[in-house]
Amino acid sequence: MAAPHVSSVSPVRPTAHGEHKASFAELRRLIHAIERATPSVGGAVAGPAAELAAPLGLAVLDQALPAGGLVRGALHEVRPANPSGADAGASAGFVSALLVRLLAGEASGPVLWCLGAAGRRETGRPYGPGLAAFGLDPNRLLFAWARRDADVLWAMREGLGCSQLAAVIGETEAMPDLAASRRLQLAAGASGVTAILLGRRALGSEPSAALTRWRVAAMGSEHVPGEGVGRPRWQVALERCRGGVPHDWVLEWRDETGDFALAAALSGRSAEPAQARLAG
Amino acid sequence: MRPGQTLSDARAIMPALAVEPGDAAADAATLDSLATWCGRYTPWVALDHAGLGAGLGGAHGLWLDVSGCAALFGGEAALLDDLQRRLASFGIEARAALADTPGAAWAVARYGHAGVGLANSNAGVVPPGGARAALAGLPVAALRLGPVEVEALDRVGLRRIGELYGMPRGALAKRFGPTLGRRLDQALGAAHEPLSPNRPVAPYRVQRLFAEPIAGPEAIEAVTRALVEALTAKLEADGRGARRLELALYRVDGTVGELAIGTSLAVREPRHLMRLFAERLERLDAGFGADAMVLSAPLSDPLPRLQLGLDLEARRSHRPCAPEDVAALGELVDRLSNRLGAANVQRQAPRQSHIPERAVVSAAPLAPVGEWPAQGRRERPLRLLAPPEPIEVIAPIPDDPPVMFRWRRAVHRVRAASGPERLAPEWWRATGMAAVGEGEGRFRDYYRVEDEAGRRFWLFRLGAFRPGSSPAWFMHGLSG
Repeated sequence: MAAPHVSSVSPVRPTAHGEHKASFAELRRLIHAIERATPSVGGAVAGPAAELAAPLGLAVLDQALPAGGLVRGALHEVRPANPSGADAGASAGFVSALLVRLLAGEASGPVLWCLGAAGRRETGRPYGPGLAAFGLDPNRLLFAWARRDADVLWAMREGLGCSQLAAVIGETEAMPDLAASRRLQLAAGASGVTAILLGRRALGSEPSAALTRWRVAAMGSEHVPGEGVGRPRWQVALERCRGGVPHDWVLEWRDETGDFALAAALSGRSAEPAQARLAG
Repeated sequence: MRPGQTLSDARAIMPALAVEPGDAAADAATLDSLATWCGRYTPWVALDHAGLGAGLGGAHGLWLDVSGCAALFGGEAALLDDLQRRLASFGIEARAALADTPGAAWAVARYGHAGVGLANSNAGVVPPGGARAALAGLPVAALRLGPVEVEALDRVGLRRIGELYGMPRGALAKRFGPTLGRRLDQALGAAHEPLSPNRPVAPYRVQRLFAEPIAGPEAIEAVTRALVEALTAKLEADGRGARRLELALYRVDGTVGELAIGTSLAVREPRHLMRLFAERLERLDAGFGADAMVLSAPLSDPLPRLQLGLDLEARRSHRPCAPEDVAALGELVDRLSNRLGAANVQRQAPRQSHIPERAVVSAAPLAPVGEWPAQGRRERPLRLLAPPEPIEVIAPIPDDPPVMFRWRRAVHRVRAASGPERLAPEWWRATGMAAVGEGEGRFRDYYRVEDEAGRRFWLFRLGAFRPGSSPAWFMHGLSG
């Protein structure tokens, strides 16, 4: 299935120019693949642009992403800011939030969630009642308990070959090497299934074919005396984004409506005040 | 020398006799593996170790129901010949016969070769309707009678089965008990005698026999492909799909290699089934060669069966759920299960329980599951640790949330906390189940806490605070 695509990938060159050309061709092919997967006629209200990306529902986020949201049929990576496991809950929360946004769009269909043994032991298994409270329908989740990273990546590739899925989530220890991540990206592009990879102990410096990479750190919730623990909050950085500029934000998750809100602008490069107001 | 002889008698005849104790367990195991091997002839293989006594010329035996199978081997005589030739090549001395009824076959196999009535060795085949004639000259013991009955018949001069034919049945039963009449009817086909097969008989079965043994993996794969295609054609004719397939490879040394695959939905797509086999075929070693392969489907379901638990509505508005979509998901699940293990591909289903670890149960990947309880459970974590991990906690007053705790050797200072939420033990369940603290009937007080770094946890104290003792605390989950 992936063979014709592989043949058209330009070889990776050390120069930035060559890399850029390759990624451009890949994006174009991705768009073709998605358009091919869905008949262009058929009375669909949504145009190809909406097919292409799932809006995250918060203006500052969507504006930072060139496609106006999380590109469907592509690989996205998430890593905890602290690879020692301290941000495991936060990064799992952010991945779940991304998934809620992905499923909130037109995409429906099951989600394949692949986890390695070490991750299950260290951070526990995804828990249906908690996921339901977060805004996910556990009935749409299909879990694959793998042993090692290699099995997780294999299961992800199998899932990405099945266009009936809405998304594939994978949790590994380390981020895969460039070849493996490129295979995931190609498989996602060919089937139109979105892939999210959470590298529990990723360092952030790994080369990758992913369209975006996010770094997530835990963040204290809004402290209202007498109220206890507030809504989930994370410090989220868009570390890498093809065709975009890195940003970071402090995001809050509203589980009752299933969307993000901006808690505070931290970085000078992040959202301008006007955009923050827009987000409400 | 003969079976049933005492050791002293035997030694008197042959003083140099080597003596070895019998090993009933090993004999039974050998018979069992032989029964498996006989699956190359027919799926209906029954064990005969009724323990009729050593005096009957070998108590152990196998019954094969070869109805409809003989044509594959070039006729009944050829089948019998093939069977005996192969057993001889394993070093197993066996006698075989083929007849209309199990009883007649049993009799001829054990007594027919003694020279009475049947001359040459491959005349073990009793022609249809010929049981009466074939048995007439055999001793009455051939009716599977015990020594008591044989002796009783002998006393009145009845030594051959044929001598019983004309006897009034009532008188026989009165004098020699009910067994004699029943065995006679069973042998002659007047009474039905069902064989209970050694293994469940698969309703769908195809096989290939090779004139020359095959060995290479390519050959095995090619034959498997042909078998899969033949079997799926049979399934298609009945509108069914396989849920489980078993592949057996009969090696020339008499051993059998077996391989099974399962599918989550009924499947009869040869490409998909072949793909499931392909990953494992390397485990099927032909050894010195294989002379037969059999593929059977012990489990099948009607097709199409489109009921599906996973939400598979139109993935996009203009793409309604089609049977191909269901099949594609089933194929994905099968490939994952095949490599990761069926238990490792699953969904979660809700269950009525206060105990958090019991509120979720794993469900089959494609089966429909129940509705999840309504929202309003923000206090539940995204990740649940199984089992809960003990932590050290400093909590100032009874019923207060902790101010500090140590989990996995890291100290966390609590910045905010919610709770407690008290979860009572399920006293109606039997004690001794896996839940922590349930045996003592102690409730759990759950707290959601956030530490100074903003990490959120779900932890609980087991039981009420008691003066003088520090209560046990557990970490149970991580929140987003």
